[in-house]
Amino acid sequence: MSAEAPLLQARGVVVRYDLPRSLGDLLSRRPARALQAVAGIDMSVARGTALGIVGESGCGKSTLGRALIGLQDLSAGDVSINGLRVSSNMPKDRRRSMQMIFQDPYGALNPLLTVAQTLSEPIRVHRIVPPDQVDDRVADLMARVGLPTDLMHRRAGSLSGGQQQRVGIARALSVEPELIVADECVAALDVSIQAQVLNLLLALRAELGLTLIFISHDLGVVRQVCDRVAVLYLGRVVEEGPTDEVFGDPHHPYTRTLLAAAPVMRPDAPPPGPPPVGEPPSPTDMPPGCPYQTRCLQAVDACRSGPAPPLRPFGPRAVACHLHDPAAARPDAGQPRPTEVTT
Amino acid sequence: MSALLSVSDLCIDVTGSDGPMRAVSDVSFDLAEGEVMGLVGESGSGKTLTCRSVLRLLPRKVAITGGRIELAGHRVTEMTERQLATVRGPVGAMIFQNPTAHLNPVMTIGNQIAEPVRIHEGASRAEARARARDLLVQVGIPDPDSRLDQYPHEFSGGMRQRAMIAAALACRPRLLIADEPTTALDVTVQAQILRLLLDLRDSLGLAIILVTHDLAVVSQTCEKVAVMYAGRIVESGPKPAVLGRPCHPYTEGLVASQPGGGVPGTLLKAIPGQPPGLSDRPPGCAFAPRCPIARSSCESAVPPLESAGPAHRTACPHWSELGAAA
Repeated sequence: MSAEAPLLQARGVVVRYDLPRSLGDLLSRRPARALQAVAGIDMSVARGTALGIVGESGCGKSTLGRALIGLQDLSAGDVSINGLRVSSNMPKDRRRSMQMIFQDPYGALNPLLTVAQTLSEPIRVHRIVPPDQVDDRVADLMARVGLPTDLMHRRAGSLSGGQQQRVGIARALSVEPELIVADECVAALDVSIQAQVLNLLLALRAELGLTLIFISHDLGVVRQVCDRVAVLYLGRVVEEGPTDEVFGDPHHPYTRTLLAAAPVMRPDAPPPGPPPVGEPPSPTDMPPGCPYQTRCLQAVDACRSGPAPPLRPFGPRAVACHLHDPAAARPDAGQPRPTEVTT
Repeated sequence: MSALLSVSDLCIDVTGSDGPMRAVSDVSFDLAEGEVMGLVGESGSGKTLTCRSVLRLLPRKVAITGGRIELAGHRVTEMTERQLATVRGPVGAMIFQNPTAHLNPVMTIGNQIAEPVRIHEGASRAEARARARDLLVQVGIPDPDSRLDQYPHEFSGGMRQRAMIAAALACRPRLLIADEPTTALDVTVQAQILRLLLDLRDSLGLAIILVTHDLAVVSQTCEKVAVMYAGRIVESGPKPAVLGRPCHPYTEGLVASQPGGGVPGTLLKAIPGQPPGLSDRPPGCAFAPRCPIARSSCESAVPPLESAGPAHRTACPHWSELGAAA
């Protein structure tokens, strides 16, 4: 890390959803229950880098992504971008610097608007260019994301999935953001189209110096795109670090399980080995101690009670596991580390 | 060894507002007892219609218009609905991507698994329930006695998929058709379900057609692979050959565009363009507009499948150029 302040800084982010109380709950004076989707996350993202957020469904990765750019109110903690606090009611000129790309490209577009209308609206609202240049600007954006200009007057419904996602990306770029949160943005696309959209994001990032938060359940995709990766389990970061180090030498038992379970395309791949045990517990019914203890094969008594283990840094990485010993885990501690990407 | 399933020259038409359109053309493949075949393709490639036609589970306005399907000696293509009822379940069964949509929400899991046993085998209530319990154990659902009386909403996604597999296995089929069975599941649960399917193959000698868009899943689970593009099989053969030395430019492109294998931050070798829709399939090779080695002859006639190695077939006449290009 360089001395430059990170673009995004999150401290102790908690997002809690209150669960509905039934009449029975009220009468028996049971306390209101809440689902803690994000349970105290600290995070910093350096300018121009790409951070991957991975985890299983229900681990809070989408909620975290929305919370980081003020689309979701925080129950505790704070997030700042460029040193300015992010909130759900910040003025629109601050909102401009952070944009989102969604999983379902069709659901995220207004079906009544043409491509040109979809792209010109944010440009007008934020007065990115003088009114007489809006059309040129729309044409530029379409060229930039690889959409032929003859699609300009088509509506979202008549575009293919890949084209719809390109419109979504162009709309996010239209206000010249510094940070883009992409939530499962290629999960709904076919394999051959997925590679095109990933290439587009990689090229845009290099060209425009964008900072990217890339939420995905697909570890291969994250490996391709991200400099750093954070592994989430039940609302907490359990491991964080440079992508090649975390994927090449995972330290948290959950990261190891996740990587072992993810199939890898190899012509001579052997049949899958013994699969991981169990499924994540319900976030409304969290186990005591470490959240992963119910599935962890290494869990000892210390893991089954008390608070969840904190995320402890070592080198450029951090792991939240009682059993993790940074000294023992790095046999190559004295050797030069591969070049760091997170300047 | 004679094949358990033999599909030859299968054609399927979809009737839209402009009349019938060919969705699947001249698809042929064989599957032996205990074999696992991956049927790979993008959405709209015809893989789901092809596998559904094996049990004639096609929606309205979709019809088999040519070819023959033989499943364990039954000529599926010529059977009446009444005859089909003796095949669906005891000979071939199917599981789907979304178990929630294919389980009855107001019927207990136990009754849903027991129902086919009672109907097909005339078993008593108690016998069928005992079989349902055994099946739950077999598919790895813990605490089967209390699970029998629960409803689908009380099961997690992975457990629902296991319950659907149990219901499919209830009448001891010899062929299981699995249409994207793990697409909606998390990777850790996906690994559990794939392991379960392979264990069932080993213990029951089940043949499996695994329909998926995920080459990584295919590479771990299947012995042979058929790749579909725009309604045709463009390449088929043993898994190591098809994925290791692809002999069709589409397969080669799919293999090269898998994310995660290369250097982080570098561009993937994406296939340009997009697959043609049902109504605008070109007259010649459907992949020609996206193909790096296409020439004018590719656009005039559909190339036939030719041999590219032992049991390895490709629909590209210029396949010998592919290895050199890579």
